[in-house]
Amino acid sequence: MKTIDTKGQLCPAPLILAKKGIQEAAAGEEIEILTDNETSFHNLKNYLKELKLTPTIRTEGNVHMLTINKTEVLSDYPSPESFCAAPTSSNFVVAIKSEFMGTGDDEIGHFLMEAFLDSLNESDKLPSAILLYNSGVKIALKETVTARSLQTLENIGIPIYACGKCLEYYNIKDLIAVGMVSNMFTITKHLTEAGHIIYP
Amino acid sequence: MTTSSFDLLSTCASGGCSAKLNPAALTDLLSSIPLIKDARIMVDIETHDDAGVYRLNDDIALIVTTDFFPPVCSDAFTFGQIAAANALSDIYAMGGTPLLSLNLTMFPSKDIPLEVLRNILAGGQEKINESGAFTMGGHTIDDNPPKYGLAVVGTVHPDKLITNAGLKAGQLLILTKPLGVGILMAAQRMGLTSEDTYNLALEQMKMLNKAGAVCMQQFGVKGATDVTGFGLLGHALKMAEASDVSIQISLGSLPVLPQVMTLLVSGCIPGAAFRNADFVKKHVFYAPSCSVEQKMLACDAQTSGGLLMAVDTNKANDLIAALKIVHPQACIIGEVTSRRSKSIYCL
Repeated sequence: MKTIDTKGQLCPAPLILAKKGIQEAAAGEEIEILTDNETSFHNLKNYLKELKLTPTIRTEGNVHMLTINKTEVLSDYPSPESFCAAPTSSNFVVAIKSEFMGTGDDEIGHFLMEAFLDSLNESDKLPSAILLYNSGVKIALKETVTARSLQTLENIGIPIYACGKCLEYYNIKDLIAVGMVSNMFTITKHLTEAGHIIYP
Repeated sequence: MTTSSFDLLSTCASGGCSAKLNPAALTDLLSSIPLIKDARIMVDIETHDDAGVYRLNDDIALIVTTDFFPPVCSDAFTFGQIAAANALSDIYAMGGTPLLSLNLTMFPSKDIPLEVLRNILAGGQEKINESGAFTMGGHTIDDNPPKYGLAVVGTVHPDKLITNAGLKAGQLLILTKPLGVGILMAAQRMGLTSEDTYNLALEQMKMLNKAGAVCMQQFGVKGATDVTGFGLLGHALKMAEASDVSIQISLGSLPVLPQVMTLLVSGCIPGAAFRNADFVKKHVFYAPSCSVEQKMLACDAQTSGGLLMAVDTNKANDLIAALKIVHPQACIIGEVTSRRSKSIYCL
């Protein structure tokens, strides 16, 4: 167990000491960070969360103790293991290439797309991204049922990338209600890096 | 103790615009104090603009603003320059020209040699002169730590007013000065910056947004703000809400001062950046590709920061070229889209 004592210090010093300590700790080692300043405590909690480390918190008197386990390498890059692992539930993207689900009558196709997004919202397996291209971008337009479903997905943190060229082609850029205006580079990156792709 | 060696930073714990009150608390408290309306008021506090604007007649609108803060650097003259540049910036952000100025000063006459006060005011005056405004007086209170800034009156043609509410979907967003001065100032206090880098930050804070304002008028910009204490995202949020649009920012393309990203990786994140991040949180979507360092850079409180402006796509390249003469790091950082579920999307 490694203790990083930041008592008596104000931000950003506690964050710097914490980051340094975490980097120096051995993999699997337990790290305890001490602070007696409320603002530093709040900032440390947020910072650790951003670093994808979840601290266990204890408070004794005016001293807060944040304990973390250095289970993974501290970086934004996935660990080597995660590259080799089989596709997991979160490692899939949904690529929506048309405003209609399936081929056939447009009315049923439209209805199916609404139902698909509803079901996705209720699913316990959520995609790492939703890609919209060609007429698929039309499901993100204002005052559509589908845009409302996409909004719920976005609110829980799922990124939605809408093809900017497609929005321009259909002249509907001003009508988009949800998601990021994106480009082919980003869309291709997600398609190539996905564990698997769902085309509804 | 000699005057020239007096370290103004020894007088306060947090400086510059990061000394601002928590924006959420302030918004909440102000909502309970109604203001009287007048048809001639073109801009009041409601759009969270940089300054208030009052239409005097068909040709002239008055812009009024004030800004002051505790020391951001050790040297008195430099502090005066930065505080004045920062206060004048609000006039420029509205597309105006500074006309009259008053010094707002707090100074502990028993603790610090009065010569230091002279130097602060002299630094301020240098920037006021550069702006073309006239100093009409001021007010000084005996108080510790010292604080300095200006109340400024500027003018603009009512039809050429630039506000937070002037953004249109389809426009591109340009930022004139690189980000990271808040981080560098925090690092300086801890002895983590190189002198060269820190001096770059000081030079940038001293720089008026005058040339930027001229460029904006030249290219018909209608929506802009200056990036200060609430950070890039805080100010972008105010513009998005006032203009009823969404803003998409590519965090990877943000101009940044040297050494800042390395400092961020090491955990050098000032408290004000966390405060700003909390303030914008509900209204921002961060793509998973955004790193914690990029997010914190976008939330870093700037002192006397650059102008953030929206320009029509077909004029963007010419505007950038004009800005680059004075602001070599000016660049496109994002775009304005129609109003979406979130006010800001960060990629």
